[in-house]
Amino acid sequence: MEHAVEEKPVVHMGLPLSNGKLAIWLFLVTEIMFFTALIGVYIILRNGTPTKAEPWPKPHQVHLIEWIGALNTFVLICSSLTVVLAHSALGKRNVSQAVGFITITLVLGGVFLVIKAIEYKAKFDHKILPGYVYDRVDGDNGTEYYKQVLKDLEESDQIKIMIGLRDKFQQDNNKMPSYEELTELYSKKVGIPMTEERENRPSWLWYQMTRKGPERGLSAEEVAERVKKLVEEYPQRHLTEYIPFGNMWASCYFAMTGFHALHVFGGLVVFVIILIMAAMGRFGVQHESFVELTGLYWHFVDIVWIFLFPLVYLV
Amino acid sequence: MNQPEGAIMTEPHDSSPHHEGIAVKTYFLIFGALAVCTAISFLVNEGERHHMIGVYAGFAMIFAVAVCKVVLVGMFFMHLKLDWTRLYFVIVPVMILAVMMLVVLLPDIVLAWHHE
Repeated sequence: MEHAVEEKPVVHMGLPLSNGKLAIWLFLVTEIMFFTALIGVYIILRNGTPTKAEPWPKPHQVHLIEWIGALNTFVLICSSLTVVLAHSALGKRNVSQAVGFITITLVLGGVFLVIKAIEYKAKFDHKILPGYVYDRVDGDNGTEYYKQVLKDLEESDQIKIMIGLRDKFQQDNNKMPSYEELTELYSKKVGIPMTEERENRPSWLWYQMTRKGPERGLSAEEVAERVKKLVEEYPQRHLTEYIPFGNMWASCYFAMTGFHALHVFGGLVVFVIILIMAAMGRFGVQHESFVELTGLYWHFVDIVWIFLFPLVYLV
Repeated sequence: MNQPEGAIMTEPHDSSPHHEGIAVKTYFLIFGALAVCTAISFLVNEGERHHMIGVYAGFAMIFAVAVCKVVLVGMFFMHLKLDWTRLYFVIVPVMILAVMMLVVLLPDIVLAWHHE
């Protein structure tokens, strides 16, 4: 006698999704919250504290060049394309092509970090660092700022020559030369007359700052104002600027772009591992899922930059 | 752990069609769109700097372009176009929380304006 056997359908535990993909997405959503917190704090500081009199730093004040940010965005977009092409090639069982695309992605990620390093170097050179920016010019802060600008000015060859001429004039005549006398002596010595307007000359600022006797030197606020005009008209002159909220800007900039750069570096480490595996002949079509998950992480890094670029460089 | 009778504890089968659902040509089109979007952001910023575009209009345009870029990367490069129905339960709550985090911080900005 035959018995009817009821066949129970096979039920799989979990989602119709690989464990790896679910895990990487869970990791990515924690990362979303991390960067949202950083960006949220930046938005609050950027919009909440500055006033019309003391605005948030403009990109040129903090030596930030917009087109470099745009270039880095383009580099990351290119790397996103190459990583997705690597995954596609591996799906078509073309391992060598996939390795080629991973290599290009690695190079592009490296280019991104090199550009970022050049940008960071400019910040270090100009001391746009947390705690180093002169963001106040009142009281002792003003005195410090005054000294710093004087030091910047006296580092130029022109001012060095003028200091020598001033001291000699003082020795010979027992009095300070007027600015006109000093510039005349300077022009005779170097053989080049000063043609630019007096207000636009760093030497005029230096002369006023060092003037002694009944005519007092400039206040720190006045120096800050003059330096601002000089830097606007002659960006090549490296004078320390007074930048309201400069320290806060630097903290936000380094926190956001620094954490992002660390994530880029993390991605590059994975790409290097893939290439080492390929060099050892241990990389193949069985790693399709691995490349896809690495790609998901890499695209997330791209997405973070897509928001950081307008926030830091443009808006 | 209670396990339904007949259930098998194995690596769940990923039934997503992977990259096969998105053509290589589409990837290049998305790449082109992203590059154009980046150029638009940059040009809008230049327009704003030279007072050809208002500050708020410029901000709105740049932000809208950024959102478009993120949607394109997410949908096509991250395959959410194919995997959305399997992953929305992870992504949607986080997006809500992320937006809420920014919204709850807004009073600080408004109060700061008020004090100015």
